[in-house]
Amino acid sequence: MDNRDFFEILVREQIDGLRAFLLSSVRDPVVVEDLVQESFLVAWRNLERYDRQLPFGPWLRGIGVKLLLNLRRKLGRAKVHFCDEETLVLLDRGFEQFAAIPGDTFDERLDALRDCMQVLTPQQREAIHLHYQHGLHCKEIGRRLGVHFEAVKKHLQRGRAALHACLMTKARLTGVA
Amino acid sequence: MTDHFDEWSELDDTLVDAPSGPGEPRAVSAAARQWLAEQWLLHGLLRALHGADAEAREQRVRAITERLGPQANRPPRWQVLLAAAALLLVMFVAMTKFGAGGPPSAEAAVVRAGDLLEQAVDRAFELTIFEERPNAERRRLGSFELTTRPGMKFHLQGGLQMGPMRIGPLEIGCDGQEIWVVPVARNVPAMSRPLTRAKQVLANFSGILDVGYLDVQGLVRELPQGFELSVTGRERGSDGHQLLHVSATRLPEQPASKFGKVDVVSLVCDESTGMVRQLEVHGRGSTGRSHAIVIDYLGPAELDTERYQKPK
Repeated sequence: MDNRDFFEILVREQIDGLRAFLLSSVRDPVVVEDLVQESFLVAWRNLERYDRQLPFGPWLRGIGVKLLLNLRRKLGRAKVHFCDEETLVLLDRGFEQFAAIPGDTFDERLDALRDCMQVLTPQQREAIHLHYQHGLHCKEIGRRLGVHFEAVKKHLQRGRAALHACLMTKARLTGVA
Repeated sequence: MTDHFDEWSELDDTLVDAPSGPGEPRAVSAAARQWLAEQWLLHGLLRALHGADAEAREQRVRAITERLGPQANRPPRWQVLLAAAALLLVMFVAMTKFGAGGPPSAEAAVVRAGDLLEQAVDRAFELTIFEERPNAERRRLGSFELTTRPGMKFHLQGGLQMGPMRIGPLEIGCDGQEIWVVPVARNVPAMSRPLTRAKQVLANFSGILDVGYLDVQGLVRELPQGFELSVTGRERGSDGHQLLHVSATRLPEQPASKFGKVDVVSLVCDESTGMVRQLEVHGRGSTGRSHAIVIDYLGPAELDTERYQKPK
């Protein structure tokens, strides 16, 4: 097995986690795909600089963060959510804790999130389904459900908070901090 | 805890068409920043969850691997990487034994699977038992739900149909110290013994059930020492993962007793995750008949520690 085969294994293991991390903080999905590719290519070229004290996943996300902040400086906030380094550190910690959920692959860990959908209220579940499954924005969801845009936003945010609490319970952790 | 949703909601611009929050990161409280990070985390996970697509994933992987150019620096110090994770350690074994550039080795795949199985996680399997006849026909004798945890802990639930005789449904468990049987029907006696006397408990099952393979972690871990390993095939699974087929044949000098009744094990290893997807164990029961035990990996499970202990 040569270095390329070996690196392909790392790509397969880490690609879903890195992509989810970037989906957290980058608005445009095309930009996410570009950043995922670029992060792995930078990692490939700089493997020698890898710090033995750190596991590979966080090191790779660190590369992703640098590329993300460069992009933000270049494009402004149009394609990136409100992001600063302090919040990205907390986000990175959240992904670290998500990785503690039992599962051999990222998708298996997502099963925990699928289970947690049960803790949502019907309104929260519907809003999350319409937003993430069908890609509807809050105003469109509001029109469909007959509620104000702000109410939809609250359903989504409270739903995400409930899912976070459920996931952290599953990971036997108390929170991101 | 005070609900700050109304206060912090405007900081979160993940839910609007275009940025609407503060123009630049401003001074926000630590609690608000924490809340924001939690919102982002779930935003990313939900986007990933609802956008999961195996084919698109393969395309992403290919797009990256096809763009890998030569490394700018000297070859990476793999030992440094390998120290980072058990997976990498396994690959190091393969490289040092077969040299870089060789094909994926059976031993590396099995060692890697063994390392994953050693993680302190309950894992669920479906165990199906067949009788193998001289004309190469197979007769299904029964199936069990098997849950295991490292440390010789397993829990088995199911039954066997041996000709006209029905054995079970029953539960068999082991907490690492004691092995026990609890009948659900009355056709099997309840029994428990120290693990060292497991044969007395399992004798009621014609030697078909054997701790040699119920301890899946132990079996996989022992394969590189007591069996000759070889790659018998490679294919792409329906989910796009590369699957490696490995055959393990017990070495002549290894006593059968060391591995229970196991003679040959066929494994299907997932090269992406490292996990073994299926084991097919061939051996002989106490009656001398050949059996095949197919063990399909179902995934991680959550089982209370009490379930491995004899019910009170």
